[in-house]
Amino acid sequence: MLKSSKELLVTSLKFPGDVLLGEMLLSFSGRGSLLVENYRTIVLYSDTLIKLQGKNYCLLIHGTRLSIEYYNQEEMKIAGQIQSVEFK
Amino acid sequence: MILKLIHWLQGIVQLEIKGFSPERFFNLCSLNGIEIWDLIYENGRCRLSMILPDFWKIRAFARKSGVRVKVAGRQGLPFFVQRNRKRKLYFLGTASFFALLYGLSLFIWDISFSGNYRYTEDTLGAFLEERGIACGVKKNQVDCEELEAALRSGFPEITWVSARVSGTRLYIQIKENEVLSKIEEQARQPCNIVADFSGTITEMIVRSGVPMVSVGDTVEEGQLLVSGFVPVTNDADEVVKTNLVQADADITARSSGSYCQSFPLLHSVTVDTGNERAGFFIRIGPFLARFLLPSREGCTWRTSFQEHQLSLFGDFCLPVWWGRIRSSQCISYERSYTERELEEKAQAIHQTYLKNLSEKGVHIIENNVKILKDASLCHVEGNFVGEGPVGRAEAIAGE
Repeated sequence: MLKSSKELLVTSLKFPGDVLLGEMLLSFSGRGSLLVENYRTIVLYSDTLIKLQGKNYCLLIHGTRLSIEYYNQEEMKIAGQIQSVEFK
Repeated sequence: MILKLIHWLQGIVQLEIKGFSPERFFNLCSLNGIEIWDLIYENGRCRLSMILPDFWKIRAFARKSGVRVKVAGRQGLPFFVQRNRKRKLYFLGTASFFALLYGLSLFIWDISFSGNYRYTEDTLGAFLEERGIACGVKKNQVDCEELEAALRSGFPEITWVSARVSGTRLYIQIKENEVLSKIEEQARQPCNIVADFSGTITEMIVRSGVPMVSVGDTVEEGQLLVSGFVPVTNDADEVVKTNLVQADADITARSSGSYCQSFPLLHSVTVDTGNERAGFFIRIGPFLARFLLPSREGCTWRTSFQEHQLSLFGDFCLPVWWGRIRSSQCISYERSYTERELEEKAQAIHQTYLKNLSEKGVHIIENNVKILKDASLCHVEGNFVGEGPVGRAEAIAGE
């Protein structure tokens, strides 16, 4: 109830969800590059799957020849052939 | 690019990681501010790059996460220095290079002018040189404020100057006065107006003084046109007093004139033979070295230089100039003008004469030109009929 009311407040006041709700921001450049912001930790890393933990859910990036160009506490840039993105 | 340079200066270590939980290792590194890039998964191993100072911090994280770290590659300045530590002359040469650059950066090696239209760069450069400011002067000897004041006082048409030193270049921006700085005051002393050439008066407007001629009169050079003596008469038409005024009038006269100008029939012609030499030159300070194929004696060459100045990072100019030399062989010989060339040259002389008259305000009504030749000279005889302003001020004697 509390969460939904917070979401409602953010939506109605048009506040940015990534700041107040800690949502992940994903920026694609075609299928070869993805910038992920607001992630917490790396759960799993291989050349076909990268699993990242967000505040409320996990992000799974499936693909081939996946590599991490750089990462820090705030953002991560992923390169390779991205096939799908899944939230769990 | 700058980030890569910083990484290179700090030293880059490429690692291979294998073990129980590489993800935990990555998270520990991230939480502790260790920068990792180029993370690639290959055959159950992870390859990554980090800077050398961070490499010394990761031992504990590797132990905690149960991974084995293997150094796969090393790049950057610390490793380069380590590899070449025995090459003392190499480092001495590098240090000398930077010391030389630092030494050169203490001087002015280029002076750039902008905004000057009336005064050429040569004029301004010569003025600065008189004050001891030229290429090669020390930067701390250049007082920009003093230089600005000197330029303003030295050139009255310059209304605004900005001088600044950027790198090893002295920038001088100038704004010149677009209107005349002073209008010449006319002398207000009594004078007559006399004819400065012979002719027939066609128009006459007298503003001050007594007219001595009228429209249609023929006047000779030096004849009085308007007198500055203005008589004051009484009722009996007797002159009681004479006032001296500055005669002022617009007088137009029609006159005819002629001129004769001669030039030799033979003239020197220089033509290219088609032979060319190319080379280059390099000038370091006052020392010039030219690399150009030698020429046979007795040949005349026309040579042009294209000069460039060596500069690092835009305004960091160095006292090194280089450029290409192009030299083309030419021969000179004397030949006489053809009929067509003679006519063209004669017309050019005549047109120049008429243009000079037009600039003086003379309206040309009729003109003729004749070309006469003798053994060695060509004579251009021209005559014209024109209307133009006549009269010059002549101070009244005794005043």
